[in-house]
Amino acid sequence: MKKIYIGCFLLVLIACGQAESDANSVKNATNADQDTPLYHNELFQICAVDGWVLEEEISEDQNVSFRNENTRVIITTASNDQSNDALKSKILSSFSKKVEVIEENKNYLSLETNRDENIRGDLYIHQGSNGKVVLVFMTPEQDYDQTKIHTFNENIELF
Amino acid sequence: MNMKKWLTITTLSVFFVGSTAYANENEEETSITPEDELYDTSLLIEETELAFTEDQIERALLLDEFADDRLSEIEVLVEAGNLEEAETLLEEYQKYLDRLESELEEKENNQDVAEEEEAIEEDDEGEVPDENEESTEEEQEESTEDQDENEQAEDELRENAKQRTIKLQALLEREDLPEQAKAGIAKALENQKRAEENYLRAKGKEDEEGQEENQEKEDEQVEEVSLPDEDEYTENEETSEPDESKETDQPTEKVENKKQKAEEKAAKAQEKAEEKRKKAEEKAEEKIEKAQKKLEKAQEKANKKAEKAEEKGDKSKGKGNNQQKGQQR
Repeated sequence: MKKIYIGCFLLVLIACGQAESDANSVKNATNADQDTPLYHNELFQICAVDGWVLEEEISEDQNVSFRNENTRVIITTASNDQSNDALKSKILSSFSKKVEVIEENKNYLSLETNRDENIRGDLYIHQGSNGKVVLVFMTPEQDYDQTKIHTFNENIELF
Repeated sequence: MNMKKWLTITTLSVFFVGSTAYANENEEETSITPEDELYDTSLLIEETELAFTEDQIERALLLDEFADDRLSEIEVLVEAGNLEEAETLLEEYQKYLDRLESELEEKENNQDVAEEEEAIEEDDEGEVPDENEESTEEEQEESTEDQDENEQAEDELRENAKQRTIKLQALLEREDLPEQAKAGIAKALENQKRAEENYLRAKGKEDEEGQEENQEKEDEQVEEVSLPDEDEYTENEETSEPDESKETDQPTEKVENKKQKAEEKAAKAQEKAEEKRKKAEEKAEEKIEKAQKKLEKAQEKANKKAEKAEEKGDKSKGKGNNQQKGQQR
């Protein structure tokens, strides 16, 4: 009888230990997912953000784009020689002619095209050690979601 | 006094010269050249703007604008003597023109399909009159607004195409360009002219549609029985043709091209006129049939009413006789 009790006790112990190790492995896996960056290169890294996926990478020109539904972000790098104002002006001139600036500060520019189908543009400039990283968000006006853009912009790490 | 005047003029001129210099500095800073490190980013921004634009005429306008930008960049590169880059950009420019052309063709095709659908709907509605009069009026207003917008857009496209042709011709006339570059420019010019012809064709089609609509309105006003005179159509055609030929009267440099265009236009106009006649005849026949049916119905109704009136008259007479008989008793 004692042998049976001991056997059952051991079985329970083994089962509990196994369950705990399974739970730990799941935890570790989720942590690993969170830690895995969505993208990284020599100048910056983008942490995984819900809904955002890598769309296109042109490594030669240091242009990379990500997409979250109808919002697209083009990330590019620029040398420190270019002033923020010059960068903003150049990006602004890259849009179609009919563009209105909504908001502007040192490192940020918000704009909207003035056509039949308007497009919102948000430009963020980050200063890295080896150059500037420019994020150009573009969204059709009706799908504009500022939190989505903010969340992505906050998840960029510069080296 | 003279001294004062001179002083004010000089200060004003200094101010103006200073401000223009400042503006030029800004322009230099803002414009992106193919050599700029942000040039590829600017192309990506253009493509994204196109991708987010669904309306075909808006897409055409965007492509037109981007083609303009490419041509300006080509001019800058040629001026700077960077001919290799200019040649590759010329190829890109041609791609933009091709895309613009296909966009306009697609738009035309879609318009044709939409018009056919509308015509079918109108025929269906015609059988049940009066019910949807208000909605059809609103639809008509909307369609006229759309047409106005389309006309404006196509005028803009045509005008821009003309400007680009002038720019390309100016580039072609440059003596310092190598033959290879000139061949590229000549090819671009050919494409440009083809695109211009497409604009004209689209414009001609819209004019035709406008005339058809006007004729339909006139027919509706005359309505019921009368058959629209075929002379009217021929008059309209006669009046429309000189208008188009007026458009072709341009500076003397492009006389041969314009002659060709005018001939093509005339041929197209004839084809359209024939199509119009056929359509008009068909419509007129349909209207006559409808009018006859209406008349028949109206006559039937009138007959029924007359019969009812007679019946009522008989009844009232019968009642009156009964009453008289009662009174006599």
